Amino acid sequence: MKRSKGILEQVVHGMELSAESMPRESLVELIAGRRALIEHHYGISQYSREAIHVKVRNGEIHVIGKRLALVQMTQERLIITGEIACVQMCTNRKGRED
Amino acid sequence: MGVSGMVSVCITSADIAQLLRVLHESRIEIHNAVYLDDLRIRMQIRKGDLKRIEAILKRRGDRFEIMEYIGFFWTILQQSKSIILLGTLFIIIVLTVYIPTRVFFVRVEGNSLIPTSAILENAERCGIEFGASRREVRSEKVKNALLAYIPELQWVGINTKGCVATISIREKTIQETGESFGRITSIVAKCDAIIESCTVQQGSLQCQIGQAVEKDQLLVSAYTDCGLTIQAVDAQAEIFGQTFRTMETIIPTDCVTRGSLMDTTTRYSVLIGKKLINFYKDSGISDGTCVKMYKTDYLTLPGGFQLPFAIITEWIFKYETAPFQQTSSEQWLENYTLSYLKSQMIAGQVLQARTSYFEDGVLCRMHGQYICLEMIGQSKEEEIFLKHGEDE
Repeated sequence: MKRSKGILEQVVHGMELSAESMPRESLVELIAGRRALIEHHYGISQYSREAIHVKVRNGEIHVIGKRLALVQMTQERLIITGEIACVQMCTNRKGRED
Repeated sequence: MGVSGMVSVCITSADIAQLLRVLHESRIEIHNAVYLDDLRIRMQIRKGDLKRIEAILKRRGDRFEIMEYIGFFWTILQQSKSIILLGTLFIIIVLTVYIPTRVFFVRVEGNSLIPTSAILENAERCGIEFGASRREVRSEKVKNALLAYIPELQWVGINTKGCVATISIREKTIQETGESFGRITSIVAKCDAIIESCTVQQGSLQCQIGQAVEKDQLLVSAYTDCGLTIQAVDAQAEIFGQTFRTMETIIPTDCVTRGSLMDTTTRYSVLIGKKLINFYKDSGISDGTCVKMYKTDYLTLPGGFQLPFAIITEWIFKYETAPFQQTSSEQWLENYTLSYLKSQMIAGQVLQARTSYFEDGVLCRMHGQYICLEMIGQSKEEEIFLKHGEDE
């Protein structure tokens, strides 16, 4: 299965397709530093008013700011509001050498 | 937000992040989560997820507290304690059950001779009125009562559709009403007279030419003795007699007549049922120099059903008054008296007239004595008994 996923990633990368076509690939949308939408997440690993860490397929997305609040958390997506200072992607695999 | 509503809960947990992860793995949706402190979080969950979240928290050793119920379902449930809401719901239910069983409007169809108002008035006496029961309205008892109240009706049918009762009728023809069929009538004198001529088509003559007769004296009898039987008929005859009449006619010396149109005013009123609402200040009573014309427009639904709501438009025409230019008061009085006398006769003419005319300042008087030749017979219906014309 892992092998098939690797092949799929190679095909997408080779054909320079959009990453959205990859299944369960995490997607982050940030609107004016006030609202962040994260799709295809795997739950929350840390939660406070200043930082929310969201697990995704390849690692964690760190949303850092002030007065953060979890507006919605469903199976597919997660919405965070507040004064978002930065959104950081922390991958747990080795970086790809393009 | 579903119809079942949302529940706002406050959860106390040692590891809130882990709790959120567990909830996500359990496919529980979270809305408007607010971080209260390191141990407490407030969030909204669906009411359907409440039992599942309770079980998860119990297993984890966390505590939770229901803060608020949110949504349409819970709003209605909270308001259900209100007397006004309960009362309104009760009234709606009662009306929903009650209204379809009642008649609120009545219409009449099929009438040409009998006025609709007369039928509706009698229908009300029979129980077909505002708020009457639909079942009772359609009963044979009501139909028979209506037939008894209005003898000119041959057949009555009452149908209801919604809250409207329709009275369908069939009127009797003239022959069926018995006005000329099967009647037994005699002819009597309508005033004192001297018989001048008699022409009898039916019945037996009871007077002769030159005879003086009094008012209500029998002239032609409906009964004819045929020996073994007595024939009863509708007597028909032309009896002319000489009559004597006196008349006094008075008119004022100075009269005014209508002149040219001065002004026209339009006024409006609303008629709701029997209640009249005027949209003008005065009493609505016009003086003698005005002519009033009005039109009533009832609000009618598609299909011809008339609602008890009407707009009345009145036009007031104000005229100038002008002096009445009469050439001769005596001549005018004489002509008027003769035309009046002729209008009082069934048929006839004035043979002789002796008149005297005089004026007394404000009035013109004419006193006259007239000898007329006129038809003096009038029909009188005979009473009919069960064994009429038969021997005991």
